[in-house]
Amino acid sequence: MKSTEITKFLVSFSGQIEHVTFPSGIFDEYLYIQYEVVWGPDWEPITGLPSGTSQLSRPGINPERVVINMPIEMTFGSTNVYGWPQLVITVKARNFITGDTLRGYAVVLLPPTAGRRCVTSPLLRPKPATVLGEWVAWLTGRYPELNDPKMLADGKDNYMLRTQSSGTVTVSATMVSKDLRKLGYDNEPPAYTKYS
Amino acid sequence: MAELHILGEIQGTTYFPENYSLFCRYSFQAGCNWTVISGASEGQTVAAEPDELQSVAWSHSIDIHYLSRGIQGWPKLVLQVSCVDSIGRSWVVGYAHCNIPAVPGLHNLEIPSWIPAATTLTDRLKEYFIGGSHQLLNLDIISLGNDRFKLKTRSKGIIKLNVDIVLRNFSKFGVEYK
Repeated sequence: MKSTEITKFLVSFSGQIEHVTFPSGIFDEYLYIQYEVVWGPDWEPITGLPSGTSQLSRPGINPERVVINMPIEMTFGSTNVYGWPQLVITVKARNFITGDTLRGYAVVLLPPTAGRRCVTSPLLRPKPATVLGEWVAWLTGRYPELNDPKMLADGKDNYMLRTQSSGTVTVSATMVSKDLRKLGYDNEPPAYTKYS
Repeated sequence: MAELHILGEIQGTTYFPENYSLFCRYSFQAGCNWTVISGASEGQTVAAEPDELQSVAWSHSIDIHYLSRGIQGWPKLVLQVSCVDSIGRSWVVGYAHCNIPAVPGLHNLEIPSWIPAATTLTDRLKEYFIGGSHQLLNLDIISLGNDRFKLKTRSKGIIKLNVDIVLRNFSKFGVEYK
């Protein structure tokens, strides 16, 4: 068996959705997140959960920061780097009066370089399209939601969305690859950038 | 043939003085040795409102696959930031370009932008009270260095770009990049 017959590489991601921050604070509400992993046409998932929902979490002494600590572990096989997996995160709040309300969406690219990476990404929330919608949102505390949050990850169209941003989500992930470099790919930063 | 993957996101902007929603049109431009195999080489982000720190978040994913026959004309990104005011009018508030780094790995780029300045007093008054701005008719000037001498410009905010570069087979053809 020849070792030159390799056509496919494997990538494994393991990490966690660490925490969510809101500069205006979270009071009397539980936050939870839902995540989905989106990948391109040449990719196939091998192991791991491509979507999940976290626990309901409240802030501690610091009202701005809510720890989620949601584990993510996935392995993919692919023949092409195009369509590298992305994580689409939906943050929602559960309140005693209004029920579940949207707090924002975030899109995070899983690391294409080997090693650990910690990313803080802003949360976006679609704005109501009409003035009446804005009043209703203000009165009820409920904001428009996307039918399919995965559309944020494709990057082709913006669907004429108008958004506002509040808060951030922090994700840390480690990538390990197999046969990526044998296929001629070079994704490693040179040594000098690691120390500069 | 060598291949180049550009993965990442247009994260947003900071320090744009406009207090309206901002969006960005972008296009990747490359020389004739380069062809796009997959991915959108141009597009438009969502229109996002600035937050209390005057920063705007777009989180617009980028994923492009280039095929290269030579390193002349390495891809560039040309950006055009516009604003939408409360009654739906929109005008350009910044132009910028940036070179895509030829080094694999993550790059957090901060791209400064500019806009043609209102030079006469009437134009400045109009810009202050009504809004709007001068626009470029010929967008080539953003990414080319010639014919800039007669242009008067004003400085604008910073566009934040996070890109991951993955190269393939460049070293096989003797290209040394690190």
